Amino acid sequence: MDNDNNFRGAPPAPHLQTIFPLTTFDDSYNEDAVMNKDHVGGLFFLLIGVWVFSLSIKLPIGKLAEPGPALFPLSLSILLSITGILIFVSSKGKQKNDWRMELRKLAKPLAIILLTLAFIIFMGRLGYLVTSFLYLFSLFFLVCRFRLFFAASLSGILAAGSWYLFGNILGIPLPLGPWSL
Amino acid sequence: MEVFGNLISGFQTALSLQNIYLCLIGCLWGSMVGVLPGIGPLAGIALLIPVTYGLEVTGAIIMLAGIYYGAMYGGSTTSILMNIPGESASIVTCLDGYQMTRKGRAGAALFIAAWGSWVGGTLSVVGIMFLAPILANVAMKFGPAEMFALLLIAFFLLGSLGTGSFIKTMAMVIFGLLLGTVGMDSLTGTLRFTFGIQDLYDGIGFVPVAMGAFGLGEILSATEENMVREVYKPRLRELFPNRMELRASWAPILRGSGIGFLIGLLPGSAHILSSFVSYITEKRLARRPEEFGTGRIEGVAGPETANNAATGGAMIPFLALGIPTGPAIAVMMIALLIHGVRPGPLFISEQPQIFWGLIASMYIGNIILVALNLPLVGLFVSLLRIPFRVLFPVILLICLIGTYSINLSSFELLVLLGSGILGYLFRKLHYDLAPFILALIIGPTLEETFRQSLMRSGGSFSIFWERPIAFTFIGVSFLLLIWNIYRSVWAGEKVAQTDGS
Repeated sequence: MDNDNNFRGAPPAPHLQTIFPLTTFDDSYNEDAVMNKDHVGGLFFLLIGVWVFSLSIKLPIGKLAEPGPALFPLSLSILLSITGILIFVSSKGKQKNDWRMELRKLAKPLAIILLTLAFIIFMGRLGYLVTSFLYLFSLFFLVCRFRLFFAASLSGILAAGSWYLFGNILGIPLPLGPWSL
Repeated sequence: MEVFGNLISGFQTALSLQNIYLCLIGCLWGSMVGVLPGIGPLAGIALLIPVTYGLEVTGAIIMLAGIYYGAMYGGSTTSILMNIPGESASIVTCLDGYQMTRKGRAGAALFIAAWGSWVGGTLSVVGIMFLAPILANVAMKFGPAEMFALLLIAFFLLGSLGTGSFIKTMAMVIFGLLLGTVGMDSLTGTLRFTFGIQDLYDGIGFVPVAMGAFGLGEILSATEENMVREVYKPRLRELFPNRMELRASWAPILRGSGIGFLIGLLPGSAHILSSFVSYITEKRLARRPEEFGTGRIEGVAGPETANNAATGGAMIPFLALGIPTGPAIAVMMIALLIHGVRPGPLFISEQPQIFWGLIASMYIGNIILVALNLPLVGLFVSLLRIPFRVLFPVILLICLIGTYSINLSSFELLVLLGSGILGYLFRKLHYDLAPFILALIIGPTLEETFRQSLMRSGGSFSIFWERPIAFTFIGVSFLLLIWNIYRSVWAGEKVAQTDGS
């Protein structure tokens, strides 16, 4: 299947192998950029910490003899904000990342995210069988760039097979669509 | 003597036809998920949880445990044949295993990996047999102060065992603890951070978060780059090592067993860490360390033994203390809770037939795995020939169904998606996910035991130093904190000096 008779567009080129969990990202750098990845991470944790703090102060803190539900999240939000600041500050002097290059890599992951969201939304309305077929077909045709007939055939087989395996053999009550499928 | 008596009754349970069949299914499925990159024991166990609903609890845990250690056996196949680790614990095996394949010694590497896995797995089961009951007896004396202090050690150990910097790992741990506060407070019934969403009243489900972060997140990362693989298929008659390779393997296998078992007791990425430590140890002890990375059998024997021995070590805190030490074990814990069984200090004394049945099945499972993995190498290689572009949509669908099957909730699918996005972003920003997931699991218990301790003492913190076990644990945890800070600062200075020179 890898010799691309069913593959549209340019054949895949040998690239980096990802190794879970130490995924080796080929970081690219750009000195004109403002931030590096640690800046972004630090800022993320700081914002989350501040937000959770603002929510937690509305909860009852209680007394030491009867600690309330606010105590733990308040303490953690403060700690998270501090670690966020430390990460942000410690990234000073490190190389700045090339964010344009990073954004270019987002196309396929973004497509997968949107298709998965559509699957979740429509599964209850159209039923598992139809939704899984459309989901797989979209992934094979749009993301993996297989030819139409191949993508449709493979999606049909896998959707029907998974419906039979999980719905009938494993007994998972999968959602039914308007045609009881 | 009591131990052997219990073991015999465990074998009586495990040797029933149904339990052997379930052990076989678990081991085979585990080997397959171990072989396939992108789907790990976490997803493999979560997917079979619905199958366990109709099973008796002993059979259910036997099957799920089979998946867990089966995945460690299977992970080495892709590392050796393709230079792609099927499991994170098999990363190190790529270094020398694939080089052995290039030299035409793939069969020997596979054989030694399977053999070492059997030895490590079996010896670690012996360890569980003797240590778990002792630890459970000690833990029965624990009150909330002792449990809190023990979890504090786990908290700081998570920080030291992460693969990134200490401060980044701690940020992930704190983030995980914070996420664990979502839902109804167990002590007061107050709703926290639910925003009126009823599905959040019970908190954020651990399984969708773990499947999202590890499963979907990994796939999103992998689709950024195209993957082209060469797969070597060894013939069955090539599967045996020569005398020199056998002689060179036995010492690393024994050392790997000890290293893996001890590291497995610690929470965190025990399988990954044990295989790395074993590799470094073998390299340090070798007469010609410069040959490591060129196809040394010791570089396969030690790490593969260690990661299997770590499965046994990891089961001890889980079974004896109720503390899951890794994401896959945490999913097993959820499966047990669904069946109304709670691992912990009382588990062994109140449910001995389940505990000893599980121990006996692990002996049986290790034999099944070593007998099956080598003849089935051809089948596994066929699986690997499936292009990733065909495989990942199937894996995605399996993750979605697996998550949906637990509570039949579409909301949990949204949690899976959100966690997948977070997992993908964290990978891009070079953050370790394992500490985050483990903190999510231990967070609620950490908070509950802390507040219960204060309630018992009337608000006085003296409860933590007046009780000797709690005081000792807290002392250890603060030493760990100081050590981590020192290491972090020292590593930072070293980098600065290197940059300067």
